[in-house]
Amino acid sequence: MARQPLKDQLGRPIRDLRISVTDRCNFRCSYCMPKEVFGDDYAFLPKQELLSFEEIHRLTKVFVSMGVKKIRLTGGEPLMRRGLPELVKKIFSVEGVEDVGLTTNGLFLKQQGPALYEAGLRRLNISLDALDAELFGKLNGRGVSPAPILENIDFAKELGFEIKVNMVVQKGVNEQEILPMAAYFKNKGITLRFIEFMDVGNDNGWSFKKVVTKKEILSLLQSEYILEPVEEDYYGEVAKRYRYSGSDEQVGFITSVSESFCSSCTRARLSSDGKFYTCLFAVKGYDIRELIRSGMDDEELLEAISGVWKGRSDRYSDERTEQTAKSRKKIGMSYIGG
Amino acid sequence: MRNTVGILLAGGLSSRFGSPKAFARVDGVYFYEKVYKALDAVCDQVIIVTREELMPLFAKELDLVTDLPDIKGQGPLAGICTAMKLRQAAMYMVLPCDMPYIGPEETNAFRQLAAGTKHVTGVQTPDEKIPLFSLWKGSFAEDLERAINNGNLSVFDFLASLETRWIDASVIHQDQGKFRNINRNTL
Ligand SMILES: C[S@@+](CC[C@H](N)C(=O)[O-])C[C@H]1O[C@@H](n2cnc3c(N)ncnc32)[C@H](O)[C@@H]1O
Ligand code: SF4
Repeated sequence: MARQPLKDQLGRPIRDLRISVTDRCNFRCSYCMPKEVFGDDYAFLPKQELLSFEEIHRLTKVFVSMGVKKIRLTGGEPLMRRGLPELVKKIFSVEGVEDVGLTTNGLFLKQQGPALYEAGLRRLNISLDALDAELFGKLNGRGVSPAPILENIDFAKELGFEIKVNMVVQKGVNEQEILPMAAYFKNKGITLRFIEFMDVGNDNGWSFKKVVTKKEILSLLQSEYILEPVEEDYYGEVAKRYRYSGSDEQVGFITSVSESFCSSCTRARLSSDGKFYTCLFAVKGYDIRELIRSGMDDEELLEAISGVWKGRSDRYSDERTEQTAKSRKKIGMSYIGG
Repeated sequence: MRNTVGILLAGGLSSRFGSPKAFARVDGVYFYEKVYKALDAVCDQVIIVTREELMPLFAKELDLVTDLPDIKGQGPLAGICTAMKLRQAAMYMVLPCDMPYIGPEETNAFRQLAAGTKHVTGVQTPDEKIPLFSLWKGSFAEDLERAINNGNLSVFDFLASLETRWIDASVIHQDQGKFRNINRNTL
């Protein structure tokens, strides 16, 4: 099925596919699944509405034939999905998949890490927003301290995983954690990436005022360290990277707000119930599950999905203003997976 | 002094089974054996609190005790109190024998998450609090004895008098079925 890489309306090829494997999570991060919205009685998707591993496997093949090379598994909390290593194996079996990564809060890595490694997974992005126990407990909404996450990071590293840590920075909330986090992970030889707080999802009280920009974070870091920019590794790399001078250690920035990267965005997203989104900030998804369950063959699926990508013209972050951030209806981060 | 002692509460008779809960089976294994394994994985020693008449049924090499005479038959608080009096430790993990789906993975994760426990940390699911799956920082034998002698046998009341933290079962394991209590729910 190999063809020319498919391009959208703005000439952007499709390269990455982010697959959300569940809409559930054991954390209640205030910016993602606030407790007030995702309470004990919140109705998550029933199992039959989730894409099965077979369906994900099939869709992966179709996406790869369109040009996708990198797959990222996310959620919700992907480690909450039973049998995840099995899915990882299936995805690796697709010819043309060059890279598979997993984004997780890290809590279940003790349980799932070894089997995932055995299944071939090598790259983990682990989210951690603070080292201060009380603050982190508050941020994750479950009172879980950073200790188990840090322990699991060490554990995963020993297993052989390549790890990056993601920290969402919110003004007035966890800015004071930037330097301690940088010092801790520099010392561990793990790349820390600062993520600008984004207006994804409704209900998280986002405003420009709560964003700590890359520029601000960088200048804070420069008060302690000498940093030198690192060339981008490949077209469409989202993280802007810097190296601590005189070492191999790096930090990264994901600047969705202050320096948007829509013009080179090569990412497609698949929600856990099989909706195809062409932008993190999309309002509407394209229901692929319905197509696959209606009995379409791979050629027909390819045709339909390609059509959606060809028509893609999203560049939300380029155009974001305080007004659009407020008025635009958005979908939840835990649903689409970031 | 031992670091962590596991307290396996195995005194209850099951109204549903009409036989001792500890000796009900799951996958051909006694409930108490399952729970013992779970505790053994994270404790330096496990003590089983049971009844006189059940003693002969347990494997010989286990550390078996019955409620101290003064507080005999006064429910789970008495079992915990007995164990704390007889075995000194810096930390106690309590588990009842009717939670046979809890395994070493879960006790391990729980201990990790309960680090920093002030007095007691218990587990809660969206449906209920499970005070008997808990970690206790040091001995509360004196307080327990006082409560029992005053006729306050409610575990919840006792925990309410302490600094008790509740950890969500969902951060311990993704499968909530693991936290089923066989006495109240069906198998
Ligand atoms: C939605 S989570 C899903 C995967 C996993 N549960 C985790 O937390 O890593 C993916 C990433 O999105 C980030 N995220 C969630 N809401 C965000 C927001 N409003 N702005 C920026 N990043 C956000 C999280 O911190 C996490 O690193
Ligand atoms: S950011 Fe990740 S861990 Fe936090 S609530 Fe969202 S899905 Fe869960």
